[in-house]
Amino acid sequence: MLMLAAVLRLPFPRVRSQSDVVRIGRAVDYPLHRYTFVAGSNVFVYRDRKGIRILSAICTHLGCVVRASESGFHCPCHGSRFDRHGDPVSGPAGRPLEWYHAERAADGVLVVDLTRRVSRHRVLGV
Amino acid sequence: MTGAVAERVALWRRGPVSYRDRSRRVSRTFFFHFQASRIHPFSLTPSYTLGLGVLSALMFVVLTVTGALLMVYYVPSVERAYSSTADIMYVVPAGRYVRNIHRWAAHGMVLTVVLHMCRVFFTGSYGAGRGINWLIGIGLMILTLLLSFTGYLLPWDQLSYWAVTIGANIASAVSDLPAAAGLESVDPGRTLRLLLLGSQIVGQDALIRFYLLHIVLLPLLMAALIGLHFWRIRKDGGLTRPREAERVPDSVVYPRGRPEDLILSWPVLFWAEAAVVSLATAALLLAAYALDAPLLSIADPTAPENPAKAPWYFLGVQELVSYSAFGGGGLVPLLLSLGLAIIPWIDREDRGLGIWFSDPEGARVAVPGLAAGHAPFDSIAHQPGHDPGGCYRRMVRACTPHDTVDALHGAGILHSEPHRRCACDGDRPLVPRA
Repeated sequence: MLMLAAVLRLPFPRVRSQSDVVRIGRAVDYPLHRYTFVAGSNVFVYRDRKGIRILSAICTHLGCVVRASESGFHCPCHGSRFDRHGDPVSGPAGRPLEWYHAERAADGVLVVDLTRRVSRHRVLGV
Repeated sequence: MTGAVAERVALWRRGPVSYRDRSRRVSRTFFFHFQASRIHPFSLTPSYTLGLGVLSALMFVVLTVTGALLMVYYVPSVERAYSSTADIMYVVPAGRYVRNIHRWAAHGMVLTVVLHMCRVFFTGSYGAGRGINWLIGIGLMILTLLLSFTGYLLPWDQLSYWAVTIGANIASAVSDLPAAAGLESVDPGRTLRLLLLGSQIVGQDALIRFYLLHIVLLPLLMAALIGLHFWRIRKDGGLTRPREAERVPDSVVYPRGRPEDLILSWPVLFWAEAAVVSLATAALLLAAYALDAPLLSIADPTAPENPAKAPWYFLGVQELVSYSAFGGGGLVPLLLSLGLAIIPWIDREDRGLGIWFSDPEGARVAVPGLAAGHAPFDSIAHQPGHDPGGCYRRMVRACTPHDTVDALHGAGILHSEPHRRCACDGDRPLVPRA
């Protein structure tokens, strides 16, 4: 019985093969007061005078990648819309887009941890 | 039937001649013994079965053979999956043809399985102790859909990637249930997702798992259930037939009186089956010659396909999930399957067994019933109020005058309408239909 339980654990990997921590370049390279899409890691970088915030581009409905639009964000798959703070406005998505933890590495490059969610008010000072 | 006649209609020139030989040929040959050596003549009525069960089994065989051929070149790695599929399409001799057959047989199988189920339902053939086989049939339908879904990922093109990303998120939407009860820390969806994808995103781990499911686990299960399905038909006394068909004229039946009113399967049943198989194979080969299976651009995890359109048999679910991931992708299909499963235990009378629409009322109910089956999808599609949600809903509102929507739905026209780009690109103005 115990052995069966042990074998049933096989399909649940202990190590994850994809890296959850991504490097997205230097903060100064991002324009001010707008969301810039970082293609490789599916996040938006928002920079203002206070600093840097990282918004997930993954739709909270079924995981498509949202696009920035005039009024905020828009998901092409099932038509969910989010405002400029990532809060759902209409469509099937019920939860706001996630904000991720960012920090600056020793070489000055921004490092985003895609497993660490933070409050929308958390800003990485520049 | 005299020996001379029997020889003329035998499948091979030196076929069995005596009744005893004909019976033994069936029961002693592996591939024939799936069939009974004697069957009721009513089972041969083409308009009764429409050959749909045989067709479904044929599709499975074709899919197995063409699938094995495709495996010669296909490589299940994210680096090579797409290019090896493209090689099959453009370089491998006859590769495109074999892939096309595989695709059209896959679509054909969904179609024949669903129609077969309709036949069984409308003739009441789940009755008279055949409930277990009805359940096995539902299992086979679910397996057919799972095989379609797992096969979807393998070409690793845009459609593959986003269909499976969405599918995996539907699976993890079960977490909405504990979350609704305030148990945020319980996350069965995440576990299910890990089991399915081997990771939290669709990548190499997901590809190898889907490959394993598609080529080994699900087909094995399918083959086993098909065997069980066939075996149950025999154990349940063959195909269903109306009570009036039990007595047949003496000239047709077994000459020594009629112990069971049966005729020998060899060779008439096999002729009938060979005809169905030949016609279907010809149709499949023609379709595969004329129509290419699509291969979109390589999977791009940063840009969803727009519009990301599910195959025809998943369109209903696609629209439902644009309403609610858990409700549309989980709850509704689950309730539908359960509803189908309990039918034999709700309808317990065998009065209309073996008859299409046992009385005129049946036919009158069936057609509006089919239309009513679409009603939930349609009502969601143009739900009044402030919710410009899914692509289909917005297309309905944007591209047709509001008062014609109902008429179009009634006539079943709206369903055949393709998803229009205009309605899905939120940032562009919606172009009204001319």
